[in-house]
Amino acid sequence: MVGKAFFENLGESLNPVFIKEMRQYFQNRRMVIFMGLLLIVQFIVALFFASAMTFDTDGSEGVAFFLLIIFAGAGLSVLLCSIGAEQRFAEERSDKELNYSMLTTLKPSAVILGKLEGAMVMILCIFSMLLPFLTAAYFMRGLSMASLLVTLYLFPILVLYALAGIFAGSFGQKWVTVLFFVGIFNSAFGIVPAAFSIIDELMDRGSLDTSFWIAVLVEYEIALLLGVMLFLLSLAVVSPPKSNRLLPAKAYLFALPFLSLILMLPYYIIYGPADFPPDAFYFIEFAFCFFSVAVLGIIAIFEMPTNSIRVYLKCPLNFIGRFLHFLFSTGFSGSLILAFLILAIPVAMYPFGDLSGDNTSQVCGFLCILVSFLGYVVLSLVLSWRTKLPLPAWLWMIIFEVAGNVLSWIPVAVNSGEMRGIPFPVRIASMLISPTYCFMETIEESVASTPGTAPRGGFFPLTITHHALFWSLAVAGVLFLILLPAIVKAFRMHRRPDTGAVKPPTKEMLKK
Amino acid sequence: MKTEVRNLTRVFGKTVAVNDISFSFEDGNIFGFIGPNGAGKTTTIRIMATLDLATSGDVFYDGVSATLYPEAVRRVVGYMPDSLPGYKDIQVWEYLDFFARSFGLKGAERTRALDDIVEFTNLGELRNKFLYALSKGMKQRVSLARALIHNPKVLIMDEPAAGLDPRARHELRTLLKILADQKKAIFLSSHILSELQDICDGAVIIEQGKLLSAGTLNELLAQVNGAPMPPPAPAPAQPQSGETADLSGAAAPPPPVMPKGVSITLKTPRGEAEPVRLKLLEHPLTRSVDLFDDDEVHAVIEGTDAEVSRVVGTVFAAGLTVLSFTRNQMGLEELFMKITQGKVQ
Repeated sequence: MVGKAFFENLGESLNPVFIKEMRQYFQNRRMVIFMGLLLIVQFIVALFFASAMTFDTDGSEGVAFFLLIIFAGAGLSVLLCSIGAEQRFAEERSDKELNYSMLTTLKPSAVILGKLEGAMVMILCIFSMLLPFLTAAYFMRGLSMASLLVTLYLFPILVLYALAGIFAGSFGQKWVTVLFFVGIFNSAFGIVPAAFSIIDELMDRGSLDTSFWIAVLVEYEIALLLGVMLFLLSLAVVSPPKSNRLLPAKAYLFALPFLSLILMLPYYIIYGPADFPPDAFYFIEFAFCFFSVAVLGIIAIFEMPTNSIRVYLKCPLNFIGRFLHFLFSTGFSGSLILAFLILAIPVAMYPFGDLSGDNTSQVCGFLCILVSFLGYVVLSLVLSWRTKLPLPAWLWMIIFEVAGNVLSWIPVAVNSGEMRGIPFPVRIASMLISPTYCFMETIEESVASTPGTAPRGGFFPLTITHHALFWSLAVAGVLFLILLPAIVKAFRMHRRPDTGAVKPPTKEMLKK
Repeated sequence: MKTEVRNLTRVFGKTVAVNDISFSFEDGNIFGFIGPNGAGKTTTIRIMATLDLATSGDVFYDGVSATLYPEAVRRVVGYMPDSLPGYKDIQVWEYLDFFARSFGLKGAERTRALDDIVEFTNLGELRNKFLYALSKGMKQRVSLARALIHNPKVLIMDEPAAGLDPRARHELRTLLKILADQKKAIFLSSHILSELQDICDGAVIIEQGKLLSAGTLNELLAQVNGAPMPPPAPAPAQPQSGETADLSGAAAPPPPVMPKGVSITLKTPRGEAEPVRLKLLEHPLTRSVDLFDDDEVHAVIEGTDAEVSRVVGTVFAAGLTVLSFTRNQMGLEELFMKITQGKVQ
């Protein structure tokens, strides 16, 4: 009786969306077919490996079979739990009449959390299904405990893929689905080789030393920080229109540069100050600041200057509370101010950074790119809101980015040393297939070939050196000043309105 | 619960989909929402159901704003859209169970709510069917069950009878009457005006986003028949900007009891229609009488079917000849055709 009551209570406390997701996963024909196929293929491959195995080998069959299993499992997880979740959520969200997040009293966080829980359980199910084959791989020899534990390394990556799928699906738009597919395809060029090399390195260790656990821990930390970001952005998309949908995401982005210190803590504690890499602190801090500023900039170009009465209603009455509410609330003014505040951290740190020559130029280059990016954001907003030109800010941004950055990189990328040996049509095709990879490769190559300088920052036609950085900052600052009257006006409007006779809901109404 | 739409306006770019409309209604009644395609019906209904936000104006449920407190409003409003549930890989009871859980129903309360709603909408045999395998009529029933699962006080329906066969329409009508008897306010848009006339207590007519007419069915029918309004009744039709047309008649104290007017046609031998008209006018329940040619009398009689029979009986008792006696069903449709111009935005 106690057991029954426990399970009944457990069932009642589960997220309704999670229950729905699980029902849909297990009643989906495609799901069943793919899982069945995976089992059959694994079984056939296992038989093949077993028949080919001889007992005087060094056990490489076990390693090869193991890698095959976990990458097949990872592939299926991406297919079913990331792409599958994206497809289902996009379909649900595109139905404007039966959107349950708008028809019921479910909170947006419950919707996203339920989806995520469903995807995570399915990933576990897929890997549980592969356990017999993993055991078989272990008995084929050549695998250490460290090798088996590398599956721990894959799990956060797969959860991030699932979260990315949920985020893309939350828009309920076909063009986002297309972008998501392009992203998934592109990530295969970067993430899969990186995962292979890390796993290879971990497997070679043979023993579970401290560095192994630190590597796993740091990866989990990064996944957690990125995962929370994706979760909060999904929340912003799913939240009701004209609500303060971006408040949690903005607060998190502001806190992110400080949370990055947590990331460094395990390294610092274990290795001590003497062995702590001197550049690591600056690099990680810079990286998180860059990330926060870039995301805030992107958010800003999609925002309106003012807010709705729903947001103003929750505005504190005192000045400081009102200003903080204004800063973190939906609306481009807050995003821009926050972005410039966070940008001040790496700019202030830059002169004091004890960096090696190459690292200095890389940081300088990325800082310039970031400043010019923020400059584009401000310029786009100025053109969109302070002039009568009928284009939205995001379209201006695309024009600037394409004209200023992407197009200017094409000749560099096409003529890069790595690509020179490849026929021209293949070079162009490879850029189209994986522009991200190509872009990063070119930056690295460019930096390496010109010590003391860094790639140019895009819109501003300058070869970037230290003084160019300050020019970029000055231009971004001037553009910000042009937008300042609009920001001040938005702040003046940001106050709690007098709702007069409008009465709040009674307890009776709120009670179910 | 009083539902009040106040100065509602919704603008999409340069198009004014809903233009400053106001009306209100109370529970226990069924109200029709009529207008040509593109009149702004669905936009209004979506705002009432908290699916969209008004550019200005608001909807109030017992004084609680749908704009400011949408979550609270969702607890008291059930919305049945014109689209049908399209979830794949999910059974009827799982679908309803999901919505019940989403409204916070737990344990025995949820089981009871599910059983009640399945019985009420006659979904017993469909419980374990997948949603994609249902016919349109079945999906409509599932949709209604979904809208009612949390026992809302106000039910808002967008074209609930569209695409249904006569039997399914009859079933829906019966269910709506039961719900109105349970003191729920029902607000539904429909193109099938003869059906609305049968079940509705009042109607709102809009075109090009503007309110053309609103009132109880009697008042609207009186308009089409050219009869004067009864003295105690308020005149809610064509409200001015800022005013609210009260469909329930609760605005004017004391609330008038408005029996349904029945439109009838009496066919007489040629040249004998005038005495019939005069005889009908003598009766106090007669609201209006018109002559068509010299052999047809159109009349609107206040009261029940039995009272209408008694009024017509006075004509027979006076020895006047009546060749046929027909109850007119098209009053609302006539009114619709008369006051709308079929313009879209």
